[in-house]
Amino acid sequence: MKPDEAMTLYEYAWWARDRLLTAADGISDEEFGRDNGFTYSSLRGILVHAMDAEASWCSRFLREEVKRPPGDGELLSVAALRERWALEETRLRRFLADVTEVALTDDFVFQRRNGQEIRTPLWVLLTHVVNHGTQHRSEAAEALTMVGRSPGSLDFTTYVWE
Amino acid sequence: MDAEYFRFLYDYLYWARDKVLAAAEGLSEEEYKRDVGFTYHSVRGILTHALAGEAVWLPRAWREQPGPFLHEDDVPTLAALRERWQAEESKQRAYLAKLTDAEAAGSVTFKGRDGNDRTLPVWQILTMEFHHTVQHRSEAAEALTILGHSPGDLDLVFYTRERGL
Repeated sequence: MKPDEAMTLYEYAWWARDRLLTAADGISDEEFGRDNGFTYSSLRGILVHAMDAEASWCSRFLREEVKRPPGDGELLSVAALRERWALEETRLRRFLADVTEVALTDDFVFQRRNGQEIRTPLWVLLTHVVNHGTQHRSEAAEALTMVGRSPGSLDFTTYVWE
Repeated sequence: MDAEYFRFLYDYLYWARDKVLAAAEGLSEEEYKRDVGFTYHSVRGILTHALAGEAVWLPRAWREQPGPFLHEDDVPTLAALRERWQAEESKQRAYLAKLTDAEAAGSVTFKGRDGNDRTLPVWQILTMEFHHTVQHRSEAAEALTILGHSPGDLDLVFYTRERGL
């Protein structure tokens, strides 16, 4: 994986995320947080988890402290989540803009939340973050569709053709 | 993206698929077909759609003409779906084993479902179909969890740890 290829995958992920957030626009805070029986309980729960994972990995990549996940009283509206995610996107763009081909191939050493040291090539971790986003974006898309707000196609080719 | 990247991605894809299919083995036939309110209705419907996507898109990368779009009646049981998917997997693995970086960067022209010619870089086809399967596999995982049969963690990092990568 080369730096521009990594950026392409993240551009696609943020394009798809924006389709979800647009589909969620106008949803009430109550509906946003309403339990829908999914693993992450609600549309808010799913999207906050996806954003938080992306932000936590970004902090590791930038060698910054990993923040605690947002609490139950935070990011209660689509607007608040969008604002926070845009900030996290800016941080991750900064990292991706500077990453080199050598760094992508090298092992990235970090500590898990339990203190265990892990060594994994950076390209694997960057692929993991995109893939994790796809998984939970898919859940959010299904949750939105169930309340009559389908985000439409999230396929990579739709992104490319657009 | 080079050929080795796609060999890695698709090996992960089949690893995660097998976790989903193993979880689906715990469903009764009625649960497998039960409408859970998702776009593709049931675990069967979702998995059939994921397989159908691979059966249409991957032959385009192989420069072969895909067969007709798969429907649930074509793979009515979990066993039938698994057998068909494994056949598609074998063809995809054989293709990936020989794929070169130059071929991954090159383009193919194929007939779209509307009959018009389309040209795409091979890496875009392989990326598109990977994410398509991940999207619908994720729906299947959620549907299975709702039915009390979670497939467990499907994250890429669990695959790499299990493979010692």
